[in-house]
Parts: sequence; structure tokens; C-alpha cells
Amino acid sequence: MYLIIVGAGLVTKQLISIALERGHKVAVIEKDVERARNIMQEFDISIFNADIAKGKILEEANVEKADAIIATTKDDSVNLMTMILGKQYGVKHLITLLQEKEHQAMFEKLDIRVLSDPEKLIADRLYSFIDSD
Amino acid sequence: MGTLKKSQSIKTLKTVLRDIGLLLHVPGVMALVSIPVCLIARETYALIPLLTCAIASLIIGQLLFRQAQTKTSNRIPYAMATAALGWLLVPLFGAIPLLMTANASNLSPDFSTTILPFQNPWNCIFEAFSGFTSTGLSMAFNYSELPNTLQWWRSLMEWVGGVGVIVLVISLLQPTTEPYQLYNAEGRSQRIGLTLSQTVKRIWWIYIVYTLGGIFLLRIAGMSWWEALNHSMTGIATGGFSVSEGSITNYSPAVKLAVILVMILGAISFSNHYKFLRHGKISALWSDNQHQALWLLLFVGTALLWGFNALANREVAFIDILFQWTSALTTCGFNTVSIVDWDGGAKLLMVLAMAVGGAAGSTAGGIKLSRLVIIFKAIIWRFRRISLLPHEMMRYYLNGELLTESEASRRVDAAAVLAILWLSVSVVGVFVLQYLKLPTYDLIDVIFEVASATSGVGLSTGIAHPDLPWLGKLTLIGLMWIGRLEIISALLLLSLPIKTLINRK
Repeated sequence: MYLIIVGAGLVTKQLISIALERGHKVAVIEKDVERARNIMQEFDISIFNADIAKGKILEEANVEKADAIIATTKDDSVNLMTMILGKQYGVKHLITLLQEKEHQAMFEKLDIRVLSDPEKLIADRLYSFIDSD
Repeated sequence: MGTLKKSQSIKTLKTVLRDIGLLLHVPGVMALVSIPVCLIARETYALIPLLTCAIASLIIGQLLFRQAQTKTSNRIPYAMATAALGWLLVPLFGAIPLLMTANASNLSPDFSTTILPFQNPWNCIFEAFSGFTSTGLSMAFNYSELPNTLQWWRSLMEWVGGVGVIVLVISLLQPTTEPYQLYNAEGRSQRIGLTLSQTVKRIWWIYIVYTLGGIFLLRIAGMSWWEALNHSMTGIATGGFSVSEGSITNYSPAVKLAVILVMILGAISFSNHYKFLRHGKISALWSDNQHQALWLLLFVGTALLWGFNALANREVAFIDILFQWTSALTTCGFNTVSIVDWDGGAKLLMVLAMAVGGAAGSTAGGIKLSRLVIIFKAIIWRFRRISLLPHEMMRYYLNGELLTESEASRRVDAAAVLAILWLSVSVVGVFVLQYLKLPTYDLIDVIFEVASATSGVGLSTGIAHPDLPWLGKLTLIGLMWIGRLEIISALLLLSLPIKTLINRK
């Protein structure tokens, strides 16, 4: 599979190593040079230093061949933009992180799989350890 | 306003002279250290020359040192000028023992003719510059027939010059100018400690350990103690002065192999030696790109040179090919066969080895392997960038480390500028010598000799000879001096008078 990850946050590194372990091809798009370099230092994958909203960066990243696009930025509007672009190119799996839970319905209407509020998820899981006793 | 500027420049000049005074202590102390050799060898005619050298350089050194009490530190250009000027003056004092011994009245008249060229000051100055720059081009014919004191003096000049006059001074004394700037201005710099004084002390320890190791190795391989001592000193300094007739020619293969090992050790960077000695990691000797290049070039070059010799139907033993190639690449300059009658292709191949030289941070000269590696990488990067997508990020790997784009281009710039400077200086040298050499020599011989001088090698096609006109000797001296300082410091010093003239108008 070929995955395009937009945004180079903390999750991205974990995601890349899981994907590489399973033998998939990965590309990362990140507009901040330092964050992009940070990823580059650890992984031997193609990294594009660009803003998703500008130009045809997804085409440059060979989106026609992509099986999935994963948006991991902190900005929901950037994530939304990414998903809509991905849909336009007919990418099969569209997955995004979401900061504001209220937007979830809107994303899901577009056939996008959403993981909203990841911190909440961790908190719930942590609490479940106490609760299970 | 004008007077303020004037007093400032006088202060600067005083600081420069003060530090040069410090550097001049080096030949003085070297002469004092050499006196026991002179006494043990019963060469009393060399005693006065050594004492004169010691007294002259110590007195002038002290005078220059004491004239300025100021503690102002000079800026980088002046540190470079200090280093360059110091490197001009120190060999002049180093020439004194050679000149005075050759002209000594109590030298027995039936002494070997080998010493006769040293009655001419030009030849002595040439020999001293060749010594301190750890080059090894010589004006002597039969090294074995020189007085022991002069053999020792030549070896000692190379041994001290190989690691650096400024390194020696910084490890013992406190110069006024920022020591780190001086250290950098001398060329061959590399940090292996947290502080500079720690760095230079470690360098000296490593140097002494390897020299002692070399002495025992060569002794075991079959040299006499005296030969082992001198060859170990000039080998680890990648200098190449010898005390035996025909350099290493007449020794057994075991000795040749041992000398090859010493030469290679001399061309490996001190920081890698430190990792090896301190942490016992032998892999440190080939772990980074420039040392991988060193080993690769040693193998590939030997094979190529062997092929060139086979093509020309020349019968040269494999060990001698390995030896000559190692000697050229490590910029040492010991000989086992005469290369004078080799064909142009083989000589040109040797020129390339000499131009590249050993690892940066070692005692070797030349453009240095680290710069060659960077330039080679720059070529790869250039091509890779062409196939890169507009926004795709470029990886600049060096020694397994990721460089930022600005850091990568800064290093490429520095290396390319130095390589171009090396070439330009050499081309000038080739033009001058081409018109001064004897008609028996070809252009390739001139190129060979110039590369040998600029990289501080010491292999010779015979042009460096007492019969060479003084201007030719001066050219070679200039090349050795410029090459030893890694060019920039020397050019800066040469440009200072021009700058002052322009400013005066």
C-alpha cells in the first residue's frame, strides 16, 4: 500500500514506523521545515515541504497511486481540506484526526473515517485501567 | 582620529610580533634538545652551529615577546598573518645549523661531498622549509653520509613541523592572540578535546606514542636503532627525510611493509587515532567517510599503478608499487624505486595521489581526503537534486549524519574553494618552474615536482636539485610554505602589503 500522511506530529512517527514495518510505502507532507527535517532524520521516506492548500502538492506526491491519505495536523480546516482533495483524487481510504468533536458528523457524511479528540481517547483508556478492578 | 587608528594598528603589530616571538622559541629549544645528539656522535663541529641557532632564536624570540606587554587579542586575519609569518621565520632559523655546520672550519676536509651543497644558504633554507613543512624534498645526495647531527636535525624539523609549530607552542605556552584562531590558521586543525589545550595535549600524546611504537616496529623489522628512530619520526610526520642511502630502497620487504604501516598511520586523523587508542575501537580507523576513502584509494590506486606499470612493460615489484603509492597518497615521500624514468601516465597518477593527500586532521598534506569526499558528495547531490520533485526535501548525508542545506553548501564551498586555490597555486608554480628547469625534464616532471612540494610529499623527479636556479628553489619553497598552511593564511599574509598600499592612497 502507499500512504500519504499530511502533517508531521508526534503520531506521525509512530504511524510511519508501523506502516514501514508492514512493508508499506509512505510519503509525508509538512509545511514546517524543522518538523519535516525531524522526520527525515529518522525515516528514509520521501518528504515534501509544502502547504497542502497551495498548488498541486498531492499530485507531486503521486496521489493517483495512493491507497490512503491520513491527515494528522492540529488544524481541522487543514485536515478537512486534505480529505476533500483526497476524495477528489478518488483515494480509497480517507482518515483524519479531529480536534473539535462537533465537526465529526460533517466529516462522516463525506465517507471519511475520523479519530476525534485523541487525548480524550488516551484519558478514557487510562481511566479504564482503574475501573476494571 | 588618524592617530587613534595608528595607535591601534601599532598595537596590532606588537601583538603579532609578540606571538611570533613565542614561535621563534621553537627552533631554539629544538637546537638545545639536539646538543646531546651532537655530543654522543662526537661531532663537535656541529656544536657551535646548534648553540648559535639556539641563542639567536631564543634571544630574538624573547626580544619580540617582551616588547609588547599588551594583552589585547587580535582578530582572525591577524592570527592568520601571525601563523603565516611565523612559518616563514621558523625555517630560516632552522637553516642555521645546516649552513654553519657545512661551513664549519673544523670540519675535516675529507668529509663526504654530500654536505657541500649546504655551504650555499639557498640550499639550507630549502632544506629547512622542506623539513618544517614535512615535505622531504632534499638538497643532499647521500643521506647516509650526512653528519649524524644534521640527520637528526632534519628528522626533528619534520617531526615538529608535521604536527605543527603552533600546536607545540599552544600546548606549552599561552599566546596573546586567541589560540584557537592561531591553531586554525596553521592548517590541519581538528578538535578532539573539549578545550583547545586538551586537544593539543592529546595530539602530542598520540604523536609521541605512535613515534615510539614506530621506532620499535622498524627496529624489529630490521633497521638499526638510529635508522628506526629517524624513519619513525619522519614517517609518522609524513615528512620523508631519510638517513639511509636511497631512502628505503635497500631494505628488506619486512621493513618496507613496516614503513608502509607507519606512513598510513601518519595519514590518519588524530581524532580517529584518539578514538582507537582511548576506546580501543579499531573500527575508528575506517568508520568515517574520509578514512573509507583513504583505504579505498590505497587499494584502487595500487591496483591502477600496477596496471600502468604492466602496460609500460616495467618490471617493478608489487611491494614497491604499494610502497610508492602509499608514499604519494600519505604525502610521506619515502622511496623504494626511482620513478624518474616512469612514463607520463604513471607519473600523472602519482600526481593525483599527491594532490589528494591524507586525511584532514593528520600530519599529511594535500587537498585532504575530507574535502575530496565533500566535493564527490556535492557532485552526487547536484545530480540528485535534478531528479527531485519541486517540494521534495533533499537529504544531505555525511558520515551518516544529516546536514542542513546551509551547512552542506557551506562545507562544499569551503572544500571547493580550497581545491581551486590548491590548483591555482600549483599552476602558477608549474609555469614558473617550466622556464627554470633543466631541458632534460618534461612538463610532467615539473607538474610532479610542483604537486610534491605543494602537498608536502617529497617524492622527486630530480628537479629539486642544488643546480636548480635560486628562483626555482624559491618557487618550491613558496609552494611548500603555502601548501603547509592550507593556502588561505599564506595568501592573506601576501595580500597584506598590497592592502596597506591601497589604503594609504
